[in-house]
Amino acid sequence: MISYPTTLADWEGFQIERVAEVCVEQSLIDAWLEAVRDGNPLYWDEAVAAEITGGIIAPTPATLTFASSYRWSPRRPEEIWDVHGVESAAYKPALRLPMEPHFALKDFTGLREGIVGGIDAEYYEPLHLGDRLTITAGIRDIGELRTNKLGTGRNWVAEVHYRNQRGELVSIERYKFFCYNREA
Amino acid sequence: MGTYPALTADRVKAGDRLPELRVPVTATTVVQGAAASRDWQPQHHDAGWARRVGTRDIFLNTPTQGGWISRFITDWTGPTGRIARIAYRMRVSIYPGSLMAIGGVVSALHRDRSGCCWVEVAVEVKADDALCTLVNVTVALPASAGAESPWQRRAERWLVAELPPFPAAGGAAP
Repeated sequence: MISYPTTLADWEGFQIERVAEVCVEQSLIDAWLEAVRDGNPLYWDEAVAAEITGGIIAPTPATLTFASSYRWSPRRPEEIWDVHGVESAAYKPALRLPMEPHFALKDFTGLREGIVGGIDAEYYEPLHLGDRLTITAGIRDIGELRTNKLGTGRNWVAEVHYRNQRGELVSIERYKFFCYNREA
Repeated sequence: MGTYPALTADRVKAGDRLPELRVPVTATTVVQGAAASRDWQPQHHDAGWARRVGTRDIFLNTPTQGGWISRFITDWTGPTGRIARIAYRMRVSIYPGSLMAIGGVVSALHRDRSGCCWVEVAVEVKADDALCTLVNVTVALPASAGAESPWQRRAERWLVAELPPFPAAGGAAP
């Protein structure tokens, strides 16, 4: 059970940490390669990958694939990630990893829309087959309420740190959001 | 030893242009990327939803753009190129029916205190000639043929956190 902040000031620096539900495996990597037609042998050729990276690795920007929560899982059948807002109230909300603090801050502020203006990503240890991420997701740099052509809302940064099961830093992502309500 | 292209830093100079990558974007391209990144936000697969929230259609999500950009970079470097960071500045979404073109130019080369050779690439992602995303990529290369692969570097010699900031605007020179 997560205890979310109850004041806007307390959201600054708020973090949660969870182990990902999905581990790095070849068929998920292959689906990524299919989607972007990437033939880099580090992602599928065992001989070349063994020589260069000590084994097959996941494509560098594919972190979300191995961090995103299942919408529903038999391991927690009472929970669902209800994007459309149509599911039975009998379900409990699932954690929306890796961006749970961002989504929860949207809920808290009542700002329904959100756009990403920029993302900065840094990559450290590569993800190998069998690795499982620990996700530390937080909020920082919450801006003042302002109005622009989209509507009235706030900027904030959702920062996510990913570590492997050995505690080694895999990547850091910083999503720069503007979340807002359109003018009536 | 495997046979694969392996670009080295001594063969790269500022101003070098990377081979352009052109991809016709369809609804399948968008949905396949969303599925591969396990991103089920509806604006990446549900056209009705996308229109209701004010966009023209479903559009490519950022991880999928990242996947195409990563491929664009490592098609050029070969597998010994190791991407260290990517910064995206989104301007316009990329919709089905457009021709996505990814281009880039080497903006700088530098070597850090551990001897790692870094190449800065300014990338532009366009759709039907409209600039959609400005991207900066930093990729490490072996210094020369037979030199250490950047993949050999573990944390204490993989100094991403010490890299200088990207230029504010990002993107390739026209």
